[in-house]
Amino acid sequence: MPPRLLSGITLLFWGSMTGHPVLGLIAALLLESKSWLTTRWEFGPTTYVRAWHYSVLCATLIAILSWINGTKANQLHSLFIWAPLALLPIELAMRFGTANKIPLNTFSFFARRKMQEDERLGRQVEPRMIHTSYPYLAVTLLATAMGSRSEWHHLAGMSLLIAIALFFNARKAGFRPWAWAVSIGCIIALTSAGQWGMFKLRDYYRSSSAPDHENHHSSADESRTSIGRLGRLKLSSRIFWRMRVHQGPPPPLVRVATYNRYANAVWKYQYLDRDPNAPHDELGYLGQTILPQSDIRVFKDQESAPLPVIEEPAELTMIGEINPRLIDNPLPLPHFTQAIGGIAKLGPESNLDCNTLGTVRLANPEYHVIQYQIWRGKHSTTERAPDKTDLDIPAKEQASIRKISEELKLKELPNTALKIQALRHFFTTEFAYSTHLNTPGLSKRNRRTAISRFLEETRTGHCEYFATATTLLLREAGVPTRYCIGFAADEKDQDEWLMRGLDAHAWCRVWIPSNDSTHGGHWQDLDLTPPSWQHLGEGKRNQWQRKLSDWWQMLSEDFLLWRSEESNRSQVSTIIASLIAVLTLWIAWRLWKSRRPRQSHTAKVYHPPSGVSQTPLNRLEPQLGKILGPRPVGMPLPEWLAQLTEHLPEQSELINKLSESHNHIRFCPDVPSGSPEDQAIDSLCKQLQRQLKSCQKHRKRSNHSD
Amino acid sequence: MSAQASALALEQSVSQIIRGQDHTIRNVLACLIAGGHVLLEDNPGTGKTTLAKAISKSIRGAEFNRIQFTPDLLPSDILGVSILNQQTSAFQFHPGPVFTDILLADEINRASPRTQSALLESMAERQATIEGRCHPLEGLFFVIATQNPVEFRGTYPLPEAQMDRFMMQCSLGYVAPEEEVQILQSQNEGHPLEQLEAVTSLEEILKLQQSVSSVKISDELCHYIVTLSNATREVEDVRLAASPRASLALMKVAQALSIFEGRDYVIPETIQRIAPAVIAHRLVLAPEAKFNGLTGKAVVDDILASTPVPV
Repeated sequence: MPPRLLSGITLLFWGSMTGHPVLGLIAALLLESKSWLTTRWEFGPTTYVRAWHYSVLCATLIAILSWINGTKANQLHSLFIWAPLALLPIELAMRFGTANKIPLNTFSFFARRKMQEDERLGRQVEPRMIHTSYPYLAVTLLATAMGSRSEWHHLAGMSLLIAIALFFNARKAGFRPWAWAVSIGCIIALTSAGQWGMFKLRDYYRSSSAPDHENHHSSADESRTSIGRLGRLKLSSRIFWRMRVHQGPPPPLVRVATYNRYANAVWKYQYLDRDPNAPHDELGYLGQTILPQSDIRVFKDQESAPLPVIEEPAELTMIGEINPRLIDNPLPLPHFTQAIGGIAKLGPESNLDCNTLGTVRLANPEYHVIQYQIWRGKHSTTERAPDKTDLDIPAKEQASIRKISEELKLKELPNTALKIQALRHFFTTEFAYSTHLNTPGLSKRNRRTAISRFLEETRTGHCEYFATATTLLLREAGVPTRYCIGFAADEKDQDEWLMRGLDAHAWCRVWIPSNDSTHGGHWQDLDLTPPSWQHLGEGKRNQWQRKLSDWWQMLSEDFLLWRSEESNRSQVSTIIASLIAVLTLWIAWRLWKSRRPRQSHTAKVYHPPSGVSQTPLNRLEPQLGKILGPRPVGMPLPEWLAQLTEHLPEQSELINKLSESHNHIRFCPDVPSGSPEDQAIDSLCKQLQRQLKSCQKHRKRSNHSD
Repeated sequence: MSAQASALALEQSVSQIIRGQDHTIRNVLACLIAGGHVLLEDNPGTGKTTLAKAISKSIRGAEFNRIQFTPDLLPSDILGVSILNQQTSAFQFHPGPVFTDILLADEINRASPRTQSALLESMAERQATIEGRCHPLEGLFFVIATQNPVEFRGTYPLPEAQMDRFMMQCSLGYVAPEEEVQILQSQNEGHPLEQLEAVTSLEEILKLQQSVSSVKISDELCHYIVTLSNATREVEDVRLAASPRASLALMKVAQALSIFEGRDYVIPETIQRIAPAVIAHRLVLAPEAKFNGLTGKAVVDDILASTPVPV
């Protein structure tokens, strides 16, 4: 057994490190109350098995709760933080049982069945009994490492705990300062090594479970492309977004974010305009207007522009999952989006912003599954007119871009439409689409960038290459162009358009000047990637496993959306709370039923049949009990009375006489009542009573003097 | 001579030979007086045969026979046989060793079941059926059967029905060292059994047997006896529990013991003292319980401790 209080301190440590101090305190008190309470239960093997079942049930309940709160299956290891609480029932059963150990086969159904079979065949089986305290301690420490927020606090706590354990053991063996000092040094070293290992393990798990697909390292401000990487693009066939179209045609491309500055395979959003009168803040986020009596937000690039007319129902509804680890998640929107509504579940800290390129981001989301509605207009109200950033070409790329531009004579073409046509022809005839990322030349002389290699050598690549190359070439030709990422909507399932990782796409926004001078022009989607890319993942989409996981994903997303409604939240909490209450009550009841009742002889008392007279000796029984203790139920009165000779050795004759006459009156059927026997036993009993009184007084006195 | 006096005289006489076994001797004699038969299960050399001989020698005119049971023993070897008398050319019945007052059936579990059941009928019905004719067993017919628990090879365990025919099962066990020293000293100059004088007569024993029924027992204690028997039927590990015959035997032995104790009524202590010897051997336990070390005596002790006793 661990030294007293060690388990309790460990649980408190767990509580403080994982941010659940109250739960840690309750668990610690429950475990440590063993030292202060004398109550012990006589548990049988079935009770231990039940306790283990309750532990498993608790773990399942925790898993369900975390699922309801949106934990994904690949993050299940994070639930290990709760292991000390889940294992509490079995640990408590072990500690409060009279055996103070539990059979090892409690944890295995098959081992128990084998033991039953052995018993049935008459083999002698002795299940191995174990203490679970130290394993429980280890589990608690591991869980603490899982949930620790600060490594230094954790290290200090671990050192302290191990020092306590060592101190208690050293105290038993005699205290030696040198040994103590060396041990403390070893402890600190071992603890930090163990701690380093535990944190590495935790980080490994955390990183392995982190979602790794291309749109997840994209924010509203920056998009890390796969341009210049090696190997094969792993396109996830998971559904990222679902789109429901209520009115009008479905948009072919749904834009997540737009960027205007390219450097080293990273597209960024750069806001140059520091005009204090501009209707947006210094980071380039537009003002927004929330329509009265609704949560519909309208984004406008210009203050003066009239509010659009919003008519219910909305044209589109988007459902999908965002990454709660990112501070700002860009939301997919079709072009000409004017207003977003129906996000009732933003949370107090969250906010929606729209930047000058029309990217709408959700900052500090409270839930990771969201649903929102979209109203579109006739033209774009959120994207600013082009500025010099939209014509900027990075210095590294300029040479090859100029070379290609001159080959195609782009600058000489009279209008934007013809330039686009020339480029489209160039890309469809000379280039191939591939998700295999080519190996760049490894020699030092090769100082080319990925885009220049794509344009001049390999001529194969995926959409990011095409979109980036198109953007830079059009900019070279004097056409303001922006790069954007998003999804292509081309898979329909019943009434929803599904956007998977396979459908993630990159394309351009091109500024088309208008013919009349009143209105400067508008931004338009341009996608020059060869159309063959859309059929690449066909095989992946229709596998039955995919269908099953899609169905599960949609179900859980819809459930999470339903749960996050304010009215339903309380309902869910009520259901969960009542489930827990019922479970707890049921556990308590089962525990109460399964305790083995102690052989209480007071419960069974002999009730003589009617008509049988009790002798005066029977009436003396309570008084005798004060000296002799309670009479066992199977012990005849004379035999019990014989024990009195130890306390009153000089009265043995009186006691024998009393026993004989009691037996005679009670069990000889012919003795009439009122016989001389009755009178004799009366006087004998009075004598005995006097002796008993003096004996009790004597005992009291001796107790006081002690 | 009162009933108690003649009973105690018999006890006294037997305890001269069998030392340090007063408790068992009294139980066996109570069984004799109650009209039952006794089964002694014990290790070899503890004095089972000597006990039987001592009882028969203490009773004047009591005939004593002994049968050594072996696997080839036949029923006719016990009951007797009719043999053709060549002079009269008629069958003449030669009674077997069972026609006696005190019969020692030594190592009864060595005989085949067929032979065992021949004795079984005699014990239960007090008659022997030989070649279709019933011969009543007259006078005192008291069987002391012995069996050795350790000798499992070449034995036929007694069937449950036969165990039930024995009123009680006792064991002598090993005596205390100082008693054993006395046994050595007394047997140094010849066996004391040879000098043993009879102290009572067959008639007196028969009279004693009749006087057992005059010992009073209250309704309450009859209920108590039945409660004890019933309790064995509710124990989970007991396959075959105590029968009404067991309750009857318990009552009779308790009455007989009361004569020894000089009481003309039965008290609960007497019933409690004798209950394990009367009931335990009749119980058949579940094999798994047996493997776990449960014994019939433990079951009875447990019942005695948990059944409320009339006080």
